[in-house]
Amino acid sequence: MHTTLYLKEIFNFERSLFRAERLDFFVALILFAAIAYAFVNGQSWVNKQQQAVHAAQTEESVRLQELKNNLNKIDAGSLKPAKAFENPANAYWVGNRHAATYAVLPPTAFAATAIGQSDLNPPYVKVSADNKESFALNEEIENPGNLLIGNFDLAFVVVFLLPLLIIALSYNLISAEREQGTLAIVMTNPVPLWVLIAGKLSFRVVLVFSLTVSITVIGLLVIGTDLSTMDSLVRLGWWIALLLAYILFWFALAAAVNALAKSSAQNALILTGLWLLILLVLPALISIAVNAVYPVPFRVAMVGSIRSAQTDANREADASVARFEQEHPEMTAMPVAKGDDYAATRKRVLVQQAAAERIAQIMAGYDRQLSQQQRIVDSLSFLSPAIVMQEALNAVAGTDNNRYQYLSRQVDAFHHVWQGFFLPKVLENTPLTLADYQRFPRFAYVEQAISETNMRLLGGLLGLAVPIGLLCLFSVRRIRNYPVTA
Amino acid sequence: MNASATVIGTIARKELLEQLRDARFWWTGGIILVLMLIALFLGWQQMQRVDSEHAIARAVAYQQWLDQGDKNPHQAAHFGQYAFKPVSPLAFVDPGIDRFVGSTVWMEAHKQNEFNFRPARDATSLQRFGELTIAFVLQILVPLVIVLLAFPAFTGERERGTLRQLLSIGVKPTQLLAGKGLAIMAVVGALLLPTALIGLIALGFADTQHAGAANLYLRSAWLIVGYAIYLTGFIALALGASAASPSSRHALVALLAFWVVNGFIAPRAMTDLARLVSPTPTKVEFQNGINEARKATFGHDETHPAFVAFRDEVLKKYNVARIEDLPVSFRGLSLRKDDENGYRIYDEHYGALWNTYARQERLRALAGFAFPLAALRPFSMGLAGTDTFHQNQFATAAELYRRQIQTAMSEDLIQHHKNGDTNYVSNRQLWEQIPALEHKIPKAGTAIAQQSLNLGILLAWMFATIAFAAMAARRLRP
Repeated sequence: MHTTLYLKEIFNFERSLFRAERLDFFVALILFAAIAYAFVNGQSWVNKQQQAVHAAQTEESVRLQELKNNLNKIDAGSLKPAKAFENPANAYWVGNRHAATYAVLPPTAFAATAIGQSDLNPPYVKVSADNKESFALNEEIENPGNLLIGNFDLAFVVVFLLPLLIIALSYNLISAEREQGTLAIVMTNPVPLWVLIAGKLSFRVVLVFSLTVSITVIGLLVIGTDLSTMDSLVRLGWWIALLLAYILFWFALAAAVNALAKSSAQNALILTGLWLLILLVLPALISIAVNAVYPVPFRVAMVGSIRSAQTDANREADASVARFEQEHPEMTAMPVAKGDDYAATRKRVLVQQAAAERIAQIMAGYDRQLSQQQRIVDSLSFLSPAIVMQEALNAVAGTDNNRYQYLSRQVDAFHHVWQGFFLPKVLENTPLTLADYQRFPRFAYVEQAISETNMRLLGGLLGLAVPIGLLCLFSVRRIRNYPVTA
Repeated sequence: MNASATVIGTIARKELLEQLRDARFWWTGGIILVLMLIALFLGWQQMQRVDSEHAIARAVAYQQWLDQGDKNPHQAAHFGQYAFKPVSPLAFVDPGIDRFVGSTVWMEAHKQNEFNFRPARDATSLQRFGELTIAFVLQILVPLVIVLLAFPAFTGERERGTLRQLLSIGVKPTQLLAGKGLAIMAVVGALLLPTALIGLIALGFADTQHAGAANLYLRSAWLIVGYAIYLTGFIALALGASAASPSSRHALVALLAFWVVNGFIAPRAMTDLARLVSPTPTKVEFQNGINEARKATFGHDETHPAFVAFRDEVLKKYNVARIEDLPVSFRGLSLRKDDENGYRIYDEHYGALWNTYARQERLRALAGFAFPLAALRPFSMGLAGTDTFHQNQFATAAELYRRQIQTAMSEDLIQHHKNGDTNYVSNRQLWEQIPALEHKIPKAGTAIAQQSLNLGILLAWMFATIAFAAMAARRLRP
């Protein structure tokens, strides 16, 4: 009963102190400036990506319309394509080139909050009937220097900058009182030291947390986020829960360092050192460990092996054509329809299919190593709350590697559907009709089940809760022996 | 030796001794040294691994070119080759953008392709926190050590009461500043010396296929100069802040704030600002621009007005009425003509793209007047040969090589192909006429000329911090 009363008293007293020094105003100003700039950047990034998607889709529909117009003209007899390549009825060139379609990953409602891995993974993939290597790893144009340095987004503000603000607000939480000699006076009241620290901390937690949340919510509304859907409410809920946990972790860390009973200057140095350790050194060391255990071979080797798969398939082309003719006499007997080089395109498809399996195996090898790496990272990330937080915020924003792998699996499945639509027509030598054009497979991204994301985010939250608990335990035990006088 | 120098020398010796007796110095120094040695080892290993993998890939790619079998020269041009960027030996100091640029480019007929396969995409999201490299240690960690060593330089003396005594016996504050500055420089220098020596010796064993030893050592010397300017500036700034602050705590907090903005906030804030001011085009925009421009050229389209005009021009030049009557291959001529049209378009579009990158980089570097990392980072990457400039140099070399293939293939057609012959093939002899692509990393002089603005910014910043420190020392309150 007394404890709550004292807590409230200290809380109010700290508030007055902050008011008097206008500290609360400065904290709000810094947070506002950082978060506002982060939103400007995040949103302009999302806009840029959406413009790229829009330009791609426009380009695709113009392309398709032209093909259809030409097909109409051919049917009407007013156009006679000189080559198979220009013939919109030729299933090979239409499926492999002219009608290649964009598989688009839509941004989530929170995409602007964390640019995450979206600067390395384009939001669309141009799928064709050609083999996977020809499109799956295409990249967006970007100044590599920009990629190296990274972005000033909301996740950066939260993961990197908020801890520094917290350190600045609490490195001298009780050491300053001791150095000024006020601690001894305060301790003449019947208040345990831990209550004093808890009271001071709770005011700071409330200040930083409420300011960050409210400025962020305003930012979300200003950039036009629809917060009325279930999806965005769930995301907002996770975002707030993670933020609270992360803030608590850093305040708990500051309290634990204060409990060591060192001077303010030493506390500032220790906390900066820990910040450096958690945010930079640990991630770099974990990254080294992961690469040592599951090294991902360079893609440069892949280029050579894919090429030799293609060359081998090409060498065996005549054999595969002969085999095909033996196995499918009915198809070879069909009359050549629209296009003079049926034999050449059929050969191309057979070569392509002969190489497809080896190429798929080669590429799957890389994916396997990468997902093994990611699995270790997921378990080792608990060593550094910053990694946990960054990954979780990316997941909330839908810009994490996991979602891009999810997209890539869907693109693979769609690629098979697309090939299944076009390639048999090439082998059967069936011309494409306008009706076929209406039936072209379309890609629609199916979002991950929210329960799956929830499980991962829950893991992240636990990864933050455990160190908070340990730090609190440490501080409470350590605080008993705190030397009140200097 | 004059009196002032003696005083400074005495102060420096005393400060040095004090630092060496401080356990904290040995702890932080030890940690930095271990991290640097780890970074050195890993950086070297990574550089060697990339170098050997690229060498293998390069050999495989060239062999595939030679072994492609008899075919029409233009088909061979379509088959093309892959180019792999040679890794700069100094990448073990600063790998720069290497992980964020595509490692290979397909050099095929008609098209200048983008580099593909950024290694960063094949890594976990951990790399976005940064990598442990020598450059990282020097750019981020060593300045923190300097802050740690220097923040109580004057405030500590004042708090212990020794400042009054010192000033009362006639020591000038600027002498105090110089003495303390020299001591910290000596300490930091001693801390960095082992790694620098190992690095310089190791460099002698680096692969000199792409860069000669003289080039590498000259670049290393400039790297040392650049980092020396940066760290000297930090020492002056830290001492100045200590002289200007009312207490050690104030000095420390102010310096830590500067360190954070310099290392973490300014770079990202400037990157985004540069992108807002001078946006990078998207790939679709870029490709559309090229495709639009290419509509003016004929490619393989024999109904294109430009094609018809070119045909008539050739027929007129040789004074014949039909292609069959030409003494040279018309196909070869038209391919060469179309390629030449394409080269201009690619030069223009890639030139514009690279100009955008360069504008973004200049804008980023401007922050260096206040926060020197913005100028040091590009300087370091530039001298290490791992910046966008070096990447584009290689891209240009690869493009010239592609053009060499195109020209040779078209030339072969022009000389040997009979008009109307659809079965013309060339063989290995022709493929062998194209030597493997050898790229030399630009001379140190080119790199330093590229970085002269950044070097100027760094120097300006260093002199400003020294002036600040001298002024703060002169106004020192006892």
